[in-house]
This record gives sequence, structure tokens and C-alpha cells, in this order.
Amino acid sequence: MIVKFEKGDSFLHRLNPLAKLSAVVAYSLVAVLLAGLRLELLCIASVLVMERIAGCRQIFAFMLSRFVLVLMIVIVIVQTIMTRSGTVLVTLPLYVASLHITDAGLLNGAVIAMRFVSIVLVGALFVSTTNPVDLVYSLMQIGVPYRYGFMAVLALRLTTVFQQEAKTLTNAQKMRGLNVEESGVKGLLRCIRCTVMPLIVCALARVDDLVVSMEGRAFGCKRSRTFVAVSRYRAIDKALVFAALAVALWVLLDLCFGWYPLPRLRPY
Amino acid sequence: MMPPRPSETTEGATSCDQPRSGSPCGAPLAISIRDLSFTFPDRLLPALRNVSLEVAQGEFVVITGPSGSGKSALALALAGYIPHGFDGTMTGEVRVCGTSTTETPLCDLSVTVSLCRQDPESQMCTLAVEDEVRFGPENLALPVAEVLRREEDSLAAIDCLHLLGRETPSLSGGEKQRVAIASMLAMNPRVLILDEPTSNLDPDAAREVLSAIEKLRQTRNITLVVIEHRLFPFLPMADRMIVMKEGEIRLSGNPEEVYRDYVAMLNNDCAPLFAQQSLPNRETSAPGPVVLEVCDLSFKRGELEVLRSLSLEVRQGEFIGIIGANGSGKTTFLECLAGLNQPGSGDIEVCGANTKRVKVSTLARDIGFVFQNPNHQIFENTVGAEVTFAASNFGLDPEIAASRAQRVLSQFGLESYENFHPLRLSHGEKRRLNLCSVLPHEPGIIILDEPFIGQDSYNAARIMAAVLRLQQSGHTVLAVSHDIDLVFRYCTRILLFDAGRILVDDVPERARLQILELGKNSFLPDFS
Repeated sequence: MIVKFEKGDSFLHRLNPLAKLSAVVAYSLVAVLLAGLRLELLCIASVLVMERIAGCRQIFAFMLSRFVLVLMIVIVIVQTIMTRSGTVLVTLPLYVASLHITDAGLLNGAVIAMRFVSIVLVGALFVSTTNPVDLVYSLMQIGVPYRYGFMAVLALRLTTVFQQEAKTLTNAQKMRGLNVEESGVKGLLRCIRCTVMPLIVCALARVDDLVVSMEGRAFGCKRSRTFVAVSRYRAIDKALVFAALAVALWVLLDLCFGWYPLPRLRPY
Repeated sequence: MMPPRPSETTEGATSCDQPRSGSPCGAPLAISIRDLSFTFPDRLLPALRNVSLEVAQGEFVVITGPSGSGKSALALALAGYIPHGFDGTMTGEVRVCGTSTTETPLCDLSVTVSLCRQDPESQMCTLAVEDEVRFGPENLALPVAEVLRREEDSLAAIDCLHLLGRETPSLSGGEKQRVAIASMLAMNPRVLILDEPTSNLDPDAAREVLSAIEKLRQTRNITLVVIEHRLFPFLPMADRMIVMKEGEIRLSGNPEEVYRDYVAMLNNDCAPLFAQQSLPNRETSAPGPVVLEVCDLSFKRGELEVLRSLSLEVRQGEFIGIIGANGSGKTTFLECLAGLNQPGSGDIEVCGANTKRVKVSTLARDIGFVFQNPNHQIFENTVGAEVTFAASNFGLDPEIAASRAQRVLSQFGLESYENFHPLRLSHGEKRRLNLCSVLPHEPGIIILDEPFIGQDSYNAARIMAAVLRLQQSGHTVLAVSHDIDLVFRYCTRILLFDAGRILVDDVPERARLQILELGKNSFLPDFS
């Protein structure tokens, strides 16, 4: 499942992209540096509440997608196996050595899996409520060189074009009797040869036209350029940026100085 | 009144604003080319040979000629991309409004001359109409008020103000091309070059672009150079027509006269292609048994109803031309026939097999589908392997496949390229290779999606001659095309699509009358 920007007029949609980005960074720091089942559950719940407020329909479905569920299970299994501390709950006798499953291992696995989910979900919420072009223009306005910024705009512009081309390629392969669902290494290599090469050829053909189009409109001629669309910061955006900075700073400083007993996992 | 036409050679370049000294008409020069030759690094033959040309300010010049004749190279040289953006050997001189393109950086040239290329889709670098039109002036770091003024002026110049606020991916083909032109106009160029501006467009969209060009011509004193294969609509507008061949200017002068000579030249070149063939008999009823049956077919993409209750029968040996505006459902219909789209409701039977019950790979044995972009359907490293690719996937005996491949390659004039990499072929050769590639496993039905896009008249005739050969050997052919003239001239039956429905389904003579009655005049051939 791919999460995409959904148009809307919610409170989250109206926030300045960079203010939102700063909040996402602060949120992620909290989720990474602090740990505890209740805290992670609170984080996930807060994202789902935000999803309702924003009127997005993708986040909950994304949380239940195969990609997220499989990754959660893998994280829990790996953490359970790797964590040796805690009270042994079960011992699995294996051929080489026995595997001890401890309460700390399970807790660690559950917390890290939920941490992963909460960060992925807040990223998905950000993507689904932020017009990517607005984000890039905002970044260019705060000093990201416009040559790099437009690389991102171009990537966004061409994504749909390449998706369409990939679909046509698959259809053309089917119509020439190629089994596009063939499994195994041989099938994979054949698929790469028959799909990637034509896609690259088409992409290179586009480069020529794009270069003519962009250089023909003085792209890159001046050190700076004009931006008609200005990304504005309302009071609420400024407040959000300050709040995000304060939270991030507090969590980082607390990590160094231990002022306040914030929930943390110390399994190792 | 026609503007004065300068002679073919120049004695000295002048600026756009200064009258040309020594000129018989005294008109200022916009373009002055002297003895221009250019060879691309990987080519033996020059793309341009000793081209000399003068164009007066405000003149409207149409350039045509076969593929590979040097038209696009000339456009690149005029806009300064040759020598600045493309490697190669250049001799001679190009001046635009008195400025030497060799001595002036591209950046400075971009405010004098603009080039708009064939595919508007691949020229757009932003996602909103206003961003696209502002892109150039913003790059020039102009004040915001000036950027906005240029945005409004250039959109107004081609009647596109209503497109403000639209996202570029949602625009139709004609709208995209007009926005591409507006974005170039926002640079305030003195010379605008349009490289095949209507080739990807349906007749209605092409008409939109033509009217935009006409308006530009009337309202701005801009020099227009249009490179085109579809000449007919430009004849009343152009001041001069130039025909290029093998990198040289072969004909130049009054559009009507040059057009007449060019058509005679083309007829002479194309006649041998059709020498062995007779035109399909359109009066007799469809000859063979039913090979394709569509019953009450509907198809939705998301909420959008793309096809609505279509029913038709296709008989063996028919050559069906499918026409209609972009987005009217033509390609979706073809994809449904091949099983690539499953019908929302209704049924399709291909040679007795229901497309809902058989795999695409099974249907593909009966249907040879040639897609629009040649690069989307080239999967092998040699032309020979490409032609046997499908046959080997279908398990055909390699010897039989190889002998059939040899036969079709020689029929299509590609036998000398058998060991070449397919991507080294020209666009026209790739299109013929695409057609070759679906033949060795001998499907009874051939589906062609826009086979003539980007083809010059000779190559289009060459493809058409090959298709007629297939039809006359018992294949059933369905072809989607915007080339209304070719469709009416050669197809045995015409289908006109409109908003997912078939409006007209008849032999060309009767289809023409029905289209006339419906008022869809842009889908009538120019020769009618």
C-alpha cells in the first residue's frame, strides 16, 4: 500500500509544511528516546485521532497493511531472540543451544515494534496531509538551493508518468507471452531485464526534452530565483515550531542529564 | 497581407529592431543562418549540410520533411542547444535577432528564442499551471509583479487564463501543449520555435493549438517557426514553407506552391509501396466469420465510466479505424479486447474465447498488440531476437520462429538490421520492428495503438502498406489513430468514439455523412 497526499481543508492540511515537519521530527524523537508500552500506545492513538481530524482514510488501513504487520512480527521475533535479560518464561530446546524467551525480550520486542509503527504512522499522516510541492517550495525558501529543490519537484512530477509507463511495459510483456509473475531468480532477472532497461531508455529520452525545456527557461542561470508563492507562517505554525523545538530539546537534555524519570527501556 | 519574404542568403546579420541593410524589403531580420553544418558525434552523415536561411521578424515559417531530414537539429541550432547542449561538429553561423548563438550563453539566448518540443508532457517540470508558466520568469529573478504580469499576458495570449489553478497532470493533451507554449511565451521571446506541436494531439486538441498559434500571430509581433508533418492546417496561416531532406533545404517559398511540389515528391516516393496492392473493398459486406464479439461492454476506472454499453462484431479481414478525442475510451477499449482490462459488465469473445475466462497470455496468441511508444515494447538485445521474443515465449519451434522472423523482417525492410541493437534504429524503424515482433506466432487479429504518431508521410505510408498486406492476407486489423485522412483512405470500417460510447460505426463513405450530421467536423478527413 502506498500512502499519498490527500487533498483536504482540515487543521492539519492548513498547517505550514515545515511547521508540520518540525512536529514530526519532535514526535519521532520522543518515540525513539522514550519507551514504554503505554507511551507507545498513546503515540499510536494520538496519530489515529489526528487521522480522524484530518479526514484521511489511509492511515488506519496502512497500519493494518501486510507490510506493517509483517515488519512488526519480524521485529518482535528478532528482539525476543536477541534479548537475554529478564525472567525466563519459556525455554525452547534447539539442536545447537536452547533459546530462552524472557519477559524483557517480549516487552522489548513489543515496544520497539510499536515505536516503529508510531513513527511510520506519523510519517504517513504527514505525507497524506502535506502537498509535497508546498513542502519543497518551503524548503527552498529557507535556503535549500533551488537546483536541488527542483530535483524533488521533478521526481514528484515524473512519478505518475513512470508508474503509467511501467504499467504499459507490463501489458506489452503480457501481450508478447512473457510470464510476468514467474517466480525464482531466473524469473526475477528476466523481469528486471525486460522492465528496467526499457524504463531507463524512456527516462533518458525524457531527460533530453526536460533539459531543453528547463534551460530554455533560464533554469540555473542565476544564483537565486523569485518565488511568487510564499510559504507563510501563521501564529499557530510558529507556536507549533516552538513547541516541537522545546519538546525535542527537553527530551535530548533529559537524556543527558536525567532531570526527570521519563519512561525508558533498559533491557541490555 | 503576407509579410515580406527575405531571400535565402544573407549578407550580414542585424538585430531584430534594426532594418536590414541591403534588404530588398527593409524588414528587420529575426533569424540569419549562414552555411550551417552539424554532425552528431555517433553519426557518419551530417544532420545539417550548408543550411543558409533568413527569416524576417514577424514571419511565420513552416518547416517539414521526412524523419531524419534535419528539422529538429535545425530547431536545436536556432535555440542555441547546438552547440551549447549537444556535442558534435558545427560549422557556419546562426544569429537570432543579431545575437550569435555560438557566442551567447544559453541563459541569455533564452530571452530571445524559445523552443517548444513535441511532447508537452515531458517538458513540464512543475505540477500546477501557474507554477509552470511562472517557471521561466522566476528563474530570471524578475520582481514578483513582473512575473505575475507575464503569467497573465502569456496565458491570455493563447486563451488559457481559465486553466489557472489546474494541476498539470489533469490537463488534456491540447491544454498541456497550450500551457507549454504559454510557459515559453512568458520568457518574452522574439522567436518561438514549435517542434511538431500537434503530432500527439487528437483533431480537436490540435485545433485548439492551431487557434492559439493563429491568435499569437495576430496579437504579437513574434517570429514563428513551426516544424510539422501535418501541413494542411498550417497552409492558410504560414508565410513561407520550407522542405528539408538529408540535412538540406530542398524547397522554400509560397506555402501553397511548396506544398504542391512536396506532395508530388511524396507521391513519387510512396507510390512503389502500394504498387502491389489494391485498396480494400469497402462496399462488400465484411468477408469472414466473426472473430471478435463485444456485447454490452462497460468499464469503470475508479468512479469514472470509461466505456458505456458498447456492442459490436468484428469479422475476419476487416480493417477498422478507431477515431475520437483523447480520453474518449479508445485505448481502454483495445485493452479490454486483449484482456488487459476486465469488463465491469458485458462480455468480449475473441475467436470464441471469453476474455473473462482465459488468461491474457492465451489471448495474446490470437491478438498481436502494438502499443503506442516503441520503447515500451523492446525487450531484447538484437532485432532478430526481438522479433522471435513472443514466438519463443509461446513455445514455437525455434527454427520455425527464426524462418518466420526472417520473412517478416524482409517484408518490412529490416533484414539488414537483424544483428543491430533495436534501440539503435530510428523511430520509424522501431515502429516497423514493433509490428514485426507480433507476427511470427501468427495472431489472427492485429491491434495498433496510434501507429502513425511521429511518423513522416513516407514512413506512415510504409506502415500502412504493411498493414494493408496483413489485412489482405486475412488478418483482422483494428487501429486507433488521430490521422483521420489515413483512416478514411484505407480502413474498411470507421468507429468514432465519444465519451466512452461508439457514436458512429460504418463504412467510411457513410461514416463521413454521419459525422457531418453530428457536427463532429474535426473528425472528417481534409480531402473530403
